Amino acid sequence: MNLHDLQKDFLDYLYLGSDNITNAIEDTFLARLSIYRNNVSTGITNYLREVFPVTEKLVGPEFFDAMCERFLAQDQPGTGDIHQYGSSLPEFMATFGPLSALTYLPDIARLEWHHHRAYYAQEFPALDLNMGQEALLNYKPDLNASVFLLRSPHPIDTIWQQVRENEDGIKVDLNAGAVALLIFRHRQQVQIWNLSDAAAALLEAVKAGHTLSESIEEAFSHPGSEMLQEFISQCLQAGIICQSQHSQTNR
Amino acid sequence: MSTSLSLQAGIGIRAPYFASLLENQSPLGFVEAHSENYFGNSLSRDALRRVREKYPVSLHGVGLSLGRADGLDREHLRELKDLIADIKPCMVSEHLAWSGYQHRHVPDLLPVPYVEASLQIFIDHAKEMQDILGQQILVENPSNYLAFKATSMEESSFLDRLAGESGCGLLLDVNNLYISSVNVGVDPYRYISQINPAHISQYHLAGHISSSNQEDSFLIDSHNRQVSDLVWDLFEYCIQHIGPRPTLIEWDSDYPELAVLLSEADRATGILNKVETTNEPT
Repeated sequence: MNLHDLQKDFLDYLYLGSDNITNAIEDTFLARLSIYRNNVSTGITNYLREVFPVTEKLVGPEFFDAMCERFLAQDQPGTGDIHQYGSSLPEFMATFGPLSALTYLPDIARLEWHHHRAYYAQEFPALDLNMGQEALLNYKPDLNASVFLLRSPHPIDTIWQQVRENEDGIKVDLNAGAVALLIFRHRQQVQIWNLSDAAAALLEAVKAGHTLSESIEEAFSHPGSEMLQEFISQCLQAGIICQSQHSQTNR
Repeated sequence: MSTSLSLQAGIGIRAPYFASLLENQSPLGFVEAHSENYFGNSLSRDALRRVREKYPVSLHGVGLSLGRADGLDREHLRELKDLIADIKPCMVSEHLAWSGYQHRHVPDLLPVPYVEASLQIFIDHAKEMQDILGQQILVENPSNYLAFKATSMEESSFLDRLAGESGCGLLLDVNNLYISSVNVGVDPYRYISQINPAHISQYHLAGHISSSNQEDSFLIDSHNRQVSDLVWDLFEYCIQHIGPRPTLIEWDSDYPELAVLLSEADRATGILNKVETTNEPT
């Protein structure tokens, strides 16, 4: 018996429905192979339900289960840490025919994925504010690992919040305009801020590897820069903008 | 591996119980956490650090895939080592199972054929894991639903040789042993007699459910109810013939009030301290 073949065949049975593995199982117990398939399918669907609860509410549990089954056939967990699985569900939903009319739904799923990852992400060290103003402005900081930016043409933050808080339906103006959201972890919880264009441009510039000075300059070319100074201060205090992970070479 | 914990049973710590366990000092010898749920510097990890200040914590892995035919995931081991350095667990355990091969994983524990080639994989991987972590691990017996045609040795002998040749300890899940006795005909008393008691460093106890269809009936390791009377009887037998060890009540779905788990732990503690051991390991 080749154990490599056996493990490949077992996974092919669980994920692709092929039956080569049946040759290795005692005949008496063949029907019990389905216990493992049910465990895997149920375990992954329940996990995705926990990561994407608002998405599930919006499409309904039966649709969600069927969608997960299709998704699972395309994309399987790649590590033993299940919390890393599910990043491609929003892209899958964007191309999933039955959802084509709900154009905001993939962005709701993206918001939930970022919320999930913000919860589990590492924390990078805070920025050293004692380096002096000139050095600070010429510094190339990073966004913390638990910080995510998400732009959407739909008011997904309002939809997300209303679905979480209301059991009896929601009332959202889908034409309320585009949003730029900041999802990050701070003070023992994951928070979501709706950003001005200027604030979003600032963080996108930092993420792209620009100095703080260059990022601020970029931000001022966008609407909503009136509150930028206060926003930068909040980002530094909350560790949203943090020490570069390449600080030795970037200074 | 030190088993100097008091003879007071513990419970698996899950999200619904964090607040109660942190607010009150429950009478528990230890609590056990699923390692992968605390990888990274998550908010869950913060909570586990606070729990660690009140109770000894053991770490129970469910995702490493110790029995995979290809190589262990070094990144997974690095995350586990980081967690161990942070939490300083009293025990670290894994399963006699596999859950990932090459680029695909499952959130389940899959069975292995008990053949020499499988045994060598487990020995090599247990040694590698212990070398990297710098400490002994325990390996838990699975609940079996089927058997492979190629199997050439009993699970008990497989585990005993694994422990003897790799230096790992064993975690005897008494509920799993009972399930295997019903599902695939393992003789639990012969099973216990074939393992050197000195290799066994921990017990698990959990509830199961019965399932059947027209052609078959079997038990499912559901972890969603109280320990059955027959498993309690088998646990007493283990204490008599192996000796008392740190013992854990597992409950993983349909969560009851914490008091129900504490009551189960209390019952296990009573047995640990009451039953006389006739075969104290040397």
